[in-house]
Amino acid sequence: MTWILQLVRDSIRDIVRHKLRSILALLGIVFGIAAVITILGIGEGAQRTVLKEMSVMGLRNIIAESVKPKDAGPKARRGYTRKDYGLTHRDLQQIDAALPEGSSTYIARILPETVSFGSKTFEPPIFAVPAAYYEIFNAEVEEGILHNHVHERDRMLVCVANREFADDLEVPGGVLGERIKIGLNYFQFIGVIDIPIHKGKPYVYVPLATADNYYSTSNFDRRESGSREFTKVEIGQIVAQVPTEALVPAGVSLIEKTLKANHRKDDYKLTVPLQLLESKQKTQRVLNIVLVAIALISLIVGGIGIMNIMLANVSERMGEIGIRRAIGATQRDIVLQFLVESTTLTLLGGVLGCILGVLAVPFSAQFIGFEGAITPAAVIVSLLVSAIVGLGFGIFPALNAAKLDPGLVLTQY
Amino acid sequence: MIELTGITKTYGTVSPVEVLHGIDLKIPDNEYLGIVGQSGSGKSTLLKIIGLIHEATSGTIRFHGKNVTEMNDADRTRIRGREVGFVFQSFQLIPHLSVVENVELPLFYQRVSRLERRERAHAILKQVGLDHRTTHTPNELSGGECQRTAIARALVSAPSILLADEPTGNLDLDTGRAIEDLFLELHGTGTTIVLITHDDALANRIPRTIRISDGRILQEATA
Repeated sequence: MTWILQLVRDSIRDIVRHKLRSILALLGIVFGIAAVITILGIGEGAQRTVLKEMSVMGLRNIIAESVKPKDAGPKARRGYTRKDYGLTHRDLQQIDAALPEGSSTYIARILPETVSFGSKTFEPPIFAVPAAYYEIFNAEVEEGILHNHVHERDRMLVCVANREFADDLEVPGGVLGERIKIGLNYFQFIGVIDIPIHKGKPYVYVPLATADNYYSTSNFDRRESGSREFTKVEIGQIVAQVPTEALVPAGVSLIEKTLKANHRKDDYKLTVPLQLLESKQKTQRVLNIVLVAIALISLIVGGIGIMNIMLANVSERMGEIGIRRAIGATQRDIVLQFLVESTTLTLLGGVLGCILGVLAVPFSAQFIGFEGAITPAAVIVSLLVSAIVGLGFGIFPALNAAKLDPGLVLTQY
Repeated sequence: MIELTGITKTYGTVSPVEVLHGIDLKIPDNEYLGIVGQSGSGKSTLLKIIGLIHEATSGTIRFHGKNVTEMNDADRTRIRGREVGFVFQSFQLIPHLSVVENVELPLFYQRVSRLERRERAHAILKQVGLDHRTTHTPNELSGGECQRTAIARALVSAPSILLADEPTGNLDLDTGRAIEDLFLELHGTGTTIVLITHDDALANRIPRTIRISDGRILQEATA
């Protein structure tokens, strides 16, 4: 081992002696490794962000939502259309019965009302939800409280909203205690929440029992054209939560089968956070592979540069190789010497590349829009790759050096 | 004792040239042998075959009774490193290594520890009068100092034979004489030496000389 360390020491001295040549030879390796570290760092950060985003939707959840179909509906008459669409209580009962033991289902209604506050009118999605809804979607209270079973039991006219809607109202002291008008009814604000699944757009939430008490599932609209539309949506959203992530595919299959059997038109959609996550992760993996492959091209080019420099080195040092052989260096010693030289060079490039990559990750990730993440594994793999490049591209010059006939070389040099 | 029997050496395969023809030579221990002859007579080739740098095309070489011609390259190299010291006309020092690093190099390939290598190198440099120049590189030395460094390197592994190919060829008269005296001194301590020279005056100082011509030993003389 000390013998190898001596060779490494001599290699470093050689690199320092030929600084400019060494730096130029290293550049391909430095940039290649920096690219690998950056790509892996951004990829890891993207994975974590995606996982976080999907996790807040609940990886055990399967979300079915009612969707308004494009066609006119079976009872269309001139100037008047009727649309019954979306999820029904019958769907809910069948889904409940079909899901594996330990599963739960929750429903939500979406109230097609406008919200008035003072002289202003808003049209945020208004979700009528059970108290458990907030938990399955990892909502956190920022101000006040969430509505609970008492509010449900007494069908109280209370509401919560997310930060986006609370800010839209522009109330100087905050919205708690303020009243908004939803349709014909006044609701009092009891809380402001952060619910990641609805981040970025304003949302309002009222107790489901209150909505069932005060609002019909049918709705009558007059359109701009003058015609009138009558819609009925029993349930806006069904959220099924299975006991484990492994049961999600089976749950999806059961729900799809049930809904396909009960619905003739495309009036529902399924969102499966786990499948979304897997899909995004698969895309990310493919992207990572492609980008790392591109970075490896840089490393191959760098390796060819190293091989070129080592071949030149061998040519320059033929006399030295001859004398080393004459005084007792075996062919194996010569191969080892030149392999250690090439690997020391590429490892040095790897270290510099890692430093550059580690500096580039936070900068690049910020540019793209999320946090990067540097893992020790990425650094170790990168250093291993640099060593392999040094060994792989150094072996041919090393073997060339070892094959030199010392007798002939000493005569010529 | 080093024994050469029926040694031939041919260079090239397309138009082969035989430079040594059936050389028989015995070099007893503690011998000081001079090899003289015109340029191209095969002196250097013979020296390199004795030193196991060149492989003979045919014939046998015995080193202290061992037939080295049947050995593989690695084994021959190890014997060469331990048993043979080389001194060349153009010194053949490694320019980026210091004097002491050049001298200790044969011991490096014998896997001797760093401490022992340094100690032995310093001791031999003292013997050749260069202990004040150990950290200098070859380009900072005179011709005589370079040749003494090369001699120190050749002696550091206490070889059984020292081979010198015109060691004074690149030196001025006085420096050359000093090197010749050093060789005589070494022979006096029991080192076996084989030395090639064009210099008749030096040849006359060597106890036994052989004259090579056209790849054959023409005559042998004893001083």
